[in-house]
Amino acid sequence: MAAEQIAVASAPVAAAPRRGNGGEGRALTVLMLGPAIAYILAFFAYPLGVTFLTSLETDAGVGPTLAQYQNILTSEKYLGALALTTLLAVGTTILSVLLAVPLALTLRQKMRGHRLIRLLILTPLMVLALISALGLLIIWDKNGWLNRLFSHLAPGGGPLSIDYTVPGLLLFYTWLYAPYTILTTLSAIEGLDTNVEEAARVSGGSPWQVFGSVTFPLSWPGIRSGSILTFLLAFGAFNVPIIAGGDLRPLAVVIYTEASTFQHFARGSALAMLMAVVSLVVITVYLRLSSPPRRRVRA
Amino acid sequence: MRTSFIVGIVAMLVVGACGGAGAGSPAATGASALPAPGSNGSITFLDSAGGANFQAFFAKILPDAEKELGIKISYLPGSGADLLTRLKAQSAGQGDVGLTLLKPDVLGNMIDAKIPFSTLTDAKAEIPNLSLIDANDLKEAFGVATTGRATPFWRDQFGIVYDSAKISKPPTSWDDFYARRAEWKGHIGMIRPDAASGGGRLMMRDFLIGAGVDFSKTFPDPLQTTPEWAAGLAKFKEFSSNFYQPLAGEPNTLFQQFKSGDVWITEYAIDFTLWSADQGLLQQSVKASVFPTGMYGGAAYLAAPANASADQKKNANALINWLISEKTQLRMLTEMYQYMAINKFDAVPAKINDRIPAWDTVKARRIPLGNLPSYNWLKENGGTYVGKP
Amino acid sequence: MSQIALPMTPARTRGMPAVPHLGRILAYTLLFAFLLYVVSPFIAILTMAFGQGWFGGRLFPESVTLRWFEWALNVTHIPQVLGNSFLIAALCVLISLIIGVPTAWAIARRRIPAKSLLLTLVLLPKTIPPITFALGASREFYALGLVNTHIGVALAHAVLAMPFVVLIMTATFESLDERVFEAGRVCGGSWLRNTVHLAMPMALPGLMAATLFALITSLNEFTLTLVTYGPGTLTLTVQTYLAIGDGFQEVASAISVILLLPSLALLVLIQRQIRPEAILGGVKGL
Repeated sequence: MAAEQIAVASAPVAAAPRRGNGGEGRALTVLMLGPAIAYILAFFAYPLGVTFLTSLETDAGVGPTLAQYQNILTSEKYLGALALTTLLAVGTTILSVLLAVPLALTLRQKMRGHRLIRLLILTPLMVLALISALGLLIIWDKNGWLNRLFSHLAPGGGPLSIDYTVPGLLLFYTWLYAPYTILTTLSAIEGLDTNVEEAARVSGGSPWQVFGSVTFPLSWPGIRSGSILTFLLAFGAFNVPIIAGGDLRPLAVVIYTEASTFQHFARGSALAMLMAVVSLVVITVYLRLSSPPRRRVRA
Repeated sequence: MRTSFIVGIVAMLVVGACGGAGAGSPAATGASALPAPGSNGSITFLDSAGGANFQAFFAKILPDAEKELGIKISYLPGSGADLLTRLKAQSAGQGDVGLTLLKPDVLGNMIDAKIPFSTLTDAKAEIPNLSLIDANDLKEAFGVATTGRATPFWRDQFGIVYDSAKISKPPTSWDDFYARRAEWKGHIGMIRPDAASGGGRLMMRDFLIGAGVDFSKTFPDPLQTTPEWAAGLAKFKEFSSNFYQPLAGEPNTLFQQFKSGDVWITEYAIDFTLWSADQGLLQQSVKASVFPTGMYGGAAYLAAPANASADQKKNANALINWLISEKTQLRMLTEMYQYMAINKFDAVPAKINDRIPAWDTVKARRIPLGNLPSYNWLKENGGTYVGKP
Repeated sequence: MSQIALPMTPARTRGMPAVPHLGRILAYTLLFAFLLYVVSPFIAILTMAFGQGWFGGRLFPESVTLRWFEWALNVTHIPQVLGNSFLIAALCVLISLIIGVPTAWAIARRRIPAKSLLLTLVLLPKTIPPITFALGASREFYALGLVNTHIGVALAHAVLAMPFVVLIMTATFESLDERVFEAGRVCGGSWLRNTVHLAMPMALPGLMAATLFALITSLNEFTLTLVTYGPGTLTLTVQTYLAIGDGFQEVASAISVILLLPSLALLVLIQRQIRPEAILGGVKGL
């Protein structure tokens, strides 16, 4: 369709040629990557190594053995926690994107008060997660303000059971972590060259076609990077589930319990390794599946 | 545009530097108008047992210690688990913490992890107030042999804590509580047995003791095979089906449930609860009592890491002596409702017993934490015995 | 392209599918609901911080009080602790930017084998709870003498902040309009000059977002601070967590409000200088 063709033809993303072939180019690349690699090796590789080695011990501290991993992978309790964690993280990411896109499209119009809204979006980031969790717990309690408001608006609907439930956790996680997605989505959507959308509209696309063929694909890289952040944070969420999760205990809580409370450092380390592997696999799959097609601009 | 961005970062650095420079010298507690650092050196005192209540208390009393002892005290609140990690990572002479205040299970874990502590009983000349402490309390702490490496600083007592505005006739024993459980269905609170805080598993243990379980027997054999054990757990399952569920994940949640009136009665530390009511953090109508079959009685311990620098080690003894002195201990009793670690009761004002049970009563009903294997079992498996509502 | 006379659509409806009046009401209602959702916990936190006696399912606390703030100021040495938090956060941001921005540039625009592997490695620190690598970190920091120094705590925080910076800046650099650089090359600037003078302004929104995330990460970090802090580097976050102890939400809320204010102030300050669309929105393309 005309709209799509215009989108592809003017996508600046596609046009960056990769540099760094020649000798001096390679040296420069190394120079650029050097600090990060050195830093990660220095301050993270060693601690991670200690953790990994600890995960190869038994509860009594002898090793190396894969006993911990065997235990975890055959245990309903841990696999259940893994499933819960993944469900919550993926659900939060989806909700965040669903929230971010319309919000960005709306804010783009710069109506009255849009600056205030932009600031408000950032506020969940400014308060410690522990306090936010308590605040959320109180607000959404059966006798809390929001339930009272709902019972006025929809009498007889019964108090919503939000605290200690999966939908409740999704609601809380989204509150805490959607701002990351919203921020990058806003950045991406507002950074679009509106002339492209104009052209698409003028060529005869309906508003939804314009959105689907031009706006969304062009802003997707920004949306994607924010959603990865949201996913990572939701996957590792700790304060919210420990306060407001009740019997729902995702991996970060389980690891904390094993390592700090039960002093099962080996098992906690093994669970952490598993957590890292799973989240990285999910992210890699997500990145692969969602890569925008790259086509060169015809001069 | 870029200028303002840089301005913003620089502004933050300046603010931080001014504030940070102020804190560059170890943060003295309370009176920042103190004269120059003490002539006898300095010490870092890490408190991993006190909550905000004791942080406030130490902020008040430590300046007096600084004046009397002539040492500069840096008070630092901390967390037991992370302190364990830090002490493990330190080597001799490198340690930056001269004195710690620890909960008993953390002390036990540290001793198990072979963290070296100074032997206080070898320094009786520098810590004469040790004579006020019961000799047994210096030998072992809740089943772990401390052999003089730690001294109790306070003795805390758990009790049944309830809102007298909602419960006019509180239960007088576990049997009474069990028999009348339906009266308070859905309003009995407990922290999860596997939480970082021990409140829940201690309540469970005390219930089992009330149901006839004998924790002096070794665990798992023969304690776990006794009929009382199985019967006690079954009784607990029935009892806990009347709890407010889901169980609180941490004490914060339990207290929020208490504040909002969802929970009317639970077992928790008496000192904290009464002090909170005084501060307006809990309902004024909260009251406490201790059942005849006994309830958890614990302590918090002072221990000086042996890996600390020489200067800190010297000052640790002086500070310990000051903290277990009669004057300080009495202040703690009257201001914090926390029972003293020392056995000198002549100067205790009688009216304190209007608020908290007399020490003699409590002493008879205290059940310290022993039989750690059973406690750890309750930690990991207690949750499966919580009945569905 | 801008020379072609296109019918100018009014700014208001640009970018959004034209919706009928009812749809607009719906949009505003949803927006309001969203705002309520975002703001309500803050109102609860403010109520906890300024109120006393919020018991028994009451709608509001019994009385208004400043006790918790007094407490926070007396017991927790707010000026020093707040200063520590911000100093460490600023250092963390600097470290993360210095390390992360060139890395992101390299990943985005230079030829690197196994690019996705590198990106994965960079994200690794954010995939596991800090408690699990705290022991190793602590040992290392003691060995290096970095404990109880501001730069030490900042270095520990940067482990968690840098992945954010790299991720966001990679996406930002990938989306830079290559035509600008081509124009720069045609106009004959040196590579370095072009990169800095052309790329940085275009990447500014992303840079602001990355800075913000790094800042937040450092201000909120608890576990890693606990294993590297000392009397001189107590942060507000550690103080809050420990003050909450067994259940002093009120004091912890007051401390959170105290932390919130400078953060908001800084945001408002920066926002005044730069159009907010530039921080929280994109720079218009050419």
